[in-house]
Amino acid sequence: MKLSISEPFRAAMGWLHTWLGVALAAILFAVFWTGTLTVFDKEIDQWMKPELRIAAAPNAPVDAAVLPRIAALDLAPASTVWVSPPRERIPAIRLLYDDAAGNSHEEMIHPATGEVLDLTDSHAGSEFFFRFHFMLHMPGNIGIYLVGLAAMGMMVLIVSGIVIHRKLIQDFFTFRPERQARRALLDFHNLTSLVALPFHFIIPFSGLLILASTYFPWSMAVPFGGDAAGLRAEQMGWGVRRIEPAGVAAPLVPSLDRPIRQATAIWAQREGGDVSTPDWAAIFNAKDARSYVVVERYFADKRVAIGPDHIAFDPRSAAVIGQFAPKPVQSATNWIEGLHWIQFDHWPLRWLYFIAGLAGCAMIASGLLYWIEARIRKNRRAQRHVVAVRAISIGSVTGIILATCVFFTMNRLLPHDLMLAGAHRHDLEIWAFFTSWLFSFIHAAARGEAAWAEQCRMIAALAVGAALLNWVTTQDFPAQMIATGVWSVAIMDAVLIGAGVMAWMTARRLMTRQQQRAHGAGTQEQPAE
Amino acid sequence: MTTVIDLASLALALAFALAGSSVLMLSQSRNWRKVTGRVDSAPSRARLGWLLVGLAFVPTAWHDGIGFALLLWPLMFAAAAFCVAIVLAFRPRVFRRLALIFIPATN
Repeated sequence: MKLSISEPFRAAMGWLHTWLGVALAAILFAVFWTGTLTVFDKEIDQWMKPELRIAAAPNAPVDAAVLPRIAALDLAPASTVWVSPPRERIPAIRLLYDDAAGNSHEEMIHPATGEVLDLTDSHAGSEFFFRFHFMLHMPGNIGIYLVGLAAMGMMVLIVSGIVIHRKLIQDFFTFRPERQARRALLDFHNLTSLVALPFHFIIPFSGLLILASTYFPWSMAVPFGGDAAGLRAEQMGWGVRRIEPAGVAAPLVPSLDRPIRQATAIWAQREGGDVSTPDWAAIFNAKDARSYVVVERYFADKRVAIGPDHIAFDPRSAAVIGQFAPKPVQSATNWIEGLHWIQFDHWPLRWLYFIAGLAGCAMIASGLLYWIEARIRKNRRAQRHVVAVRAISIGSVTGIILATCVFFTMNRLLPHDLMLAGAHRHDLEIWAFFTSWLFSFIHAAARGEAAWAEQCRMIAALAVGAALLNWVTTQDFPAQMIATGVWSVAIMDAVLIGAGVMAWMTARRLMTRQQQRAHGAGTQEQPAE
Repeated sequence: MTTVIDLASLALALAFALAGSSVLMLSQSRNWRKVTGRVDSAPSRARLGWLLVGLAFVPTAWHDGIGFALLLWPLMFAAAAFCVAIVLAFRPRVFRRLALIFIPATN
């Protein structure tokens, strides 16, 4: 490829890539790391809430398990009850409702027994890691704006990175671990960036697209005269289904399975072939004579594209009383947003996302390490800003991994119903995460270069410890989990142990290198050091 | 039965991606010299490499549909290219057999 890039331009892009990279690396690593974990959020949920370790039975009927429970609830006549049927990755039935006093409740119901599961109070994957991924656990929209800026920065970094790479094609497969650390790190940074380049670009892009209405609320409402409600009605079909209650009490709808089957048949006719499972079957005006059922699908499991899709039924006559399907003009954005949401059932693709996410983490970490090595080579290791960047790098790379391992370990150590000084159990887990993360920064500042290896050893101990604690506290050994069809838990144990072994090996290599360096510094062997 | 087809389509696509990445890697002179120990420049096989990589799209598109294939294909190529680069770094001789296929063509 012949590109004529002038040297001043390349130098300017190099400066941009270096300093924007250093400035954004911490936040980008946190977003990539939690995003990678969120690829398996439901599986992490099953690990952290052992009550959910039920064999998956997608599309199992829900009536027998959930209708008696809804009938027993103390509901306002006009209230709405939401039921999510079991899916491949969520084995239990989810039930959402507001009681007569107006308090919201969420319950998980065993699909076979109808028992309301007494879940371990944890925010686990689908709440903690998922929210952190785009909100950074910050109040209001601050985190969302920071992540948005970082995503824009990520795209700038990719473009500037391509410009400054002199031998993009020739070096595509190049990794020379035998060369000096600086060169090997740059090779690894280039390799992890280039092989997954389309992924590294489409992920921040699609993330920004998902949050576009938060970033530019007014721009999208302009065609609706600035009315955001009008926009949502057009996009989501909100407002088309509301039927006012009659004010006359009536018994609960006879079935949810029947409307679910009907909706599935209608979608099958429209789309042909494999039809995605509905997300929700909602009962509106639940205890009123004018109750009706809406079957909704937003996150399809048999295709990449997301998008609202719902059909309203009269539960007694089974007649269709309303329908909404997304407009064809949305199909491109629905596919791009869907590829970021990853709600489809495709295990090989899900693993590829996980691996590509880890490649992104490796790309950011090796970029930071290269920056540090380049300064060490110029004999600037003792300069204050180099010391500071190294401490921040250690805290944001090994530190967040360490905090994640502490989060898992605490989850297995805290008693099921713990309340401590008014704090919920899930808050204690999150505090443990942030306390250990903070500790990793302090440790890095205090220990300097040695902190890399030391934190790797802590990660090794905690990751293996978390898997062992899972076996001790739940007796759910991998063989038993596989026999009952709950692969997620067995695989998460294996990943934890594998990660622990890798962290241990990394720590050993780092320590050998440090010893060599300390040794070499005393002789005239490495004047550059 | 469906599991067998799932696995077969995936394995076929991965095999194409790996084979294509390996051929692309060998079409670059520095890698060619590292693998074969020869001093000549690499036989030009980049087109064959791209063809093989492109063929990986076919089983995924046929089995999973275009919507999934557009994601599976680049990610499988990424994984394959990464594996090829790592094996080249630590065990370059693994590719010798493949390289030997091309040698008569250069003579």
